Amino acid sequence: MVKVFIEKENKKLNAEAKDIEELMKKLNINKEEVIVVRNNQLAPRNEKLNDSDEVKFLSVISGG
Amino acid sequence: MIMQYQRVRKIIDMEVLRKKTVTIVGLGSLGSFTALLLAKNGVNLNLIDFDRVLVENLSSQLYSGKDIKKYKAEVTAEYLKKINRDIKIKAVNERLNSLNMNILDSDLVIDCTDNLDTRFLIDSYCYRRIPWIHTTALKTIGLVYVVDNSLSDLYSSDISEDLCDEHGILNTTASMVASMAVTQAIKILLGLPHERDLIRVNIWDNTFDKIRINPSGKREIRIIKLCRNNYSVNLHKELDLNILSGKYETILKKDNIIIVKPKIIINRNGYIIFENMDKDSIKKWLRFL
Repeated sequence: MVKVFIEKENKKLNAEAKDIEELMKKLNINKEEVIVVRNNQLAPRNEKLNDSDEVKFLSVISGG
Repeated sequence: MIMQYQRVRKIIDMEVLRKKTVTIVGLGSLGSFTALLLAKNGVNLNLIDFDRVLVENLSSQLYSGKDIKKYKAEVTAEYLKKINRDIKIKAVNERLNSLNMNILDSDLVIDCTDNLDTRFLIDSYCYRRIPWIHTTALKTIGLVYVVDNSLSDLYSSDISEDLCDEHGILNTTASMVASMAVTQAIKILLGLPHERDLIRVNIWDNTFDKIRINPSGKREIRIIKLCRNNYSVNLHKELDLNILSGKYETILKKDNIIIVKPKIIINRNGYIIFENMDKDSIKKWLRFL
């Protein structure tokens, strides 16, 4: 089970998925809008997930 | 050493700092606070912004009512000259584009713009030549990242943004992001080790993330969405405009730029803007370059 935080919805939940891509599909997360952080490290979409990983979907922000 | 630095010089080497010049691109919330802090620390400045002050800028930027409709770069320069007469300030009232990128030449560039397109333009010019810091903010969230390799390490080609959106930034977020960025800037200018991780704060929740980014050692070619159906691409290579203008129906031809049909603006340095085209057609088009 992976611990997930979705910043846009300010939502924490647990989920199961073999990699980040599958997790994003399951949670219906738009790949154009987020950067993905796994255990405090920026993660590529094809990265495998392990039990008790922490995954954060942080919104892309572009103001200045 | 002038009196104004006699306390701060016990913390940082003012003799070195006073000889340095930083370019700030964008003088909105992040840029105006960043410029103020650097000016107070005795750093010379190049200030770049094509925009003029609007009434809605007053709550989160350093401007006052009498500045409305004036160029942000000029107003900031005048204001900071009064704050610190010891520094040199150059104001550039231009939008950064592929033809004027040499205005970035300095000891360090700080990106305080509000769009990925300009950010990747900075990336293309500074890549392994000039150190630069990426900053951005929205509402109560802010981010600072010293770009050691390329910004494409952080923003993959999947990422897109709606540039036509009106962004709002709480002024406390802006001043915090500026403080973090200027601290890193001082370290870089003094040749000291700087933060390698991306720093991301939410000032409302008091949360602070440090995110490790592994530089890929290369640059991606990205198709970046601009407003409406316009896209930009940087091929990071010199193009032969004579060959291209012979190959495609050319609307306009100058030394460093050509415009071909339907409407593709091609710069000699590999920076291209596609107007009114979809991503798939652009991908097909790029195969021939």
